[in-house]
Amino acid sequence: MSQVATEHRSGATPDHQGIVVQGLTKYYGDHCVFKDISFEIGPTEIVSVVGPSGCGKTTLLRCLNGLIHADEGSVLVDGDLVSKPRPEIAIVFQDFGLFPWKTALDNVAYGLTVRGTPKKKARETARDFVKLVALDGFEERYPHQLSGGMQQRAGLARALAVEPRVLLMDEPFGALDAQTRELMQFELLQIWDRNPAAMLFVTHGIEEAVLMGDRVIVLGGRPSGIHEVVDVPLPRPRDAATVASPEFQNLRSQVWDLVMTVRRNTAGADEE
Amino acid sequence: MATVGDKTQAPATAQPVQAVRKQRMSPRTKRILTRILAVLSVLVVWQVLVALFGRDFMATPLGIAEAIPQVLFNDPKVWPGVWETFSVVFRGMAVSIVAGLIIGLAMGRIPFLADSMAPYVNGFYATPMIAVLPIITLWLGFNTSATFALVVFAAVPPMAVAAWDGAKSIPTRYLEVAESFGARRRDVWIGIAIPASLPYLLAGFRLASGRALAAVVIAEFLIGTGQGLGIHIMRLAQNFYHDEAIVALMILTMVGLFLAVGVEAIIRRRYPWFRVTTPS
Repeated sequence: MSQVATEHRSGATPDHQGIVVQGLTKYYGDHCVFKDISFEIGPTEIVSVVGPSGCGKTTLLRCLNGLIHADEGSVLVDGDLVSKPRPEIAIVFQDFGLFPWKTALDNVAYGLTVRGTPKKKARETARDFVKLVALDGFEERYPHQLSGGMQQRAGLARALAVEPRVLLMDEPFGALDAQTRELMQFELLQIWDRNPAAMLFVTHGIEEAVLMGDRVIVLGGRPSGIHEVVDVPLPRPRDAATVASPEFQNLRSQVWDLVMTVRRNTAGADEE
Repeated sequence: MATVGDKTQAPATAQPVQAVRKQRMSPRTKRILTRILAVLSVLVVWQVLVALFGRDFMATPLGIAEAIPQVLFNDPKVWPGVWETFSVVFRGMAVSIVAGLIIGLAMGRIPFLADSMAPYVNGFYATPMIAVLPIITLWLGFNTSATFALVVFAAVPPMAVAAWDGAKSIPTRYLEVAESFGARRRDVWIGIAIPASLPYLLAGFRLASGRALAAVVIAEFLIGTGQGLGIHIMRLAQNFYHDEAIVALMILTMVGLFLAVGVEAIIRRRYPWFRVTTPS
């Protein structure tokens, strides 16, 4: 695994080192959520994380952002230790996390205004990102006037607008219907091709994990740990044709088998 | 009235016709008609009862109708009274909203403050406001400062409790989003705590304004030296001007209605997201 990481890192400038996770361990009281998790994400790499419910995927993601503190281990972004949320890391939430009292545009501008960008400038920048996610024309709508897919476009634009070096995706398309989800996957891939960043993509969807990731981390066990890392050498840019290829289908069933094995070994994890 | 009688006596065959008529009338029209009918029937009963059993000086709907222009245009004490009373109410409410908001939001966000302030807020809320008036007048004298103080005493606790509840129930997702984008404390307080708890704040405002109106009238009655609308009503009634007293009372009611219903309606119209209180 470290070999793969090195390979991907080789093209990076010294201050863009992506994210390095070492020996991360998290307890809730006596309960160990996950133990000794280590991996790296290169500056222009996507790593997917799959695993049964309750295996700590979301907790892991929050540790990477500094929203939650791990009990052991460390997270480095561009060589700096992450101890609290930082400007170069942005999250996209499963339930979008838009503020209902702000318009789509102001929601997209939120990250910028919070960082002290003057309101006018922030809205100008936000407009560009609203266009990027194809939400133009809906700038002045409130979240409740938008469909789920459009709300997540706004959530994505808000994260992209701060021009993060690390994007943390917390099951971003999990709350969308199947068709919208597929559409958004391909659009996210296109956007990423134009503005590549280090991305951690937490998901329930095995197909989605393979489609997005350069690698797929399968979490599982008790306490949870990295069960297996599957390399996904599919060429980029990836699109609908990628999904149809036999290589994709092979990888998909490989990850599927791993997740099923983990589920059997982690009996009861689903009930959590 | 006649239609009500018809309805009860109508044979079963008449029902399809009624069903059609019901469908054609919009729920809104129906509601308004119901209200008008309810008010009119009470007025009629009132007029009839006073005519049959009442005394000469008692107020009747027709007498009140005659007194309305009289009070509004010819009574030199009404408008200064309205001004004196409501300037105290509005000043008191302004202070109470700000104070209640600060106290309540702080209590909702800082557990230490909630623990230490809760006995006071709950205690003051439970204290009958009329009972503290003697103490307030002792400190401030028999004047509008005492009235103002009683209004604040009455209106701060419901505002504070509402803001407290609101701050406690801010969806953690909003706070998490704010934190993940590096929001500072000020951004969270002003940018999230206030809008996220607006429905609670409005409910608190409604309670507080009702108590503020009650407080101002109680204070005017008991202090007895002012020229406010409350004491004016008292004087009119004591001098057997009952129709005029009720007209003056209606002015109080109108302002009370505006504070209780009108303000919320304006906010609902102004902020279309208002109904959306939970994260999507």
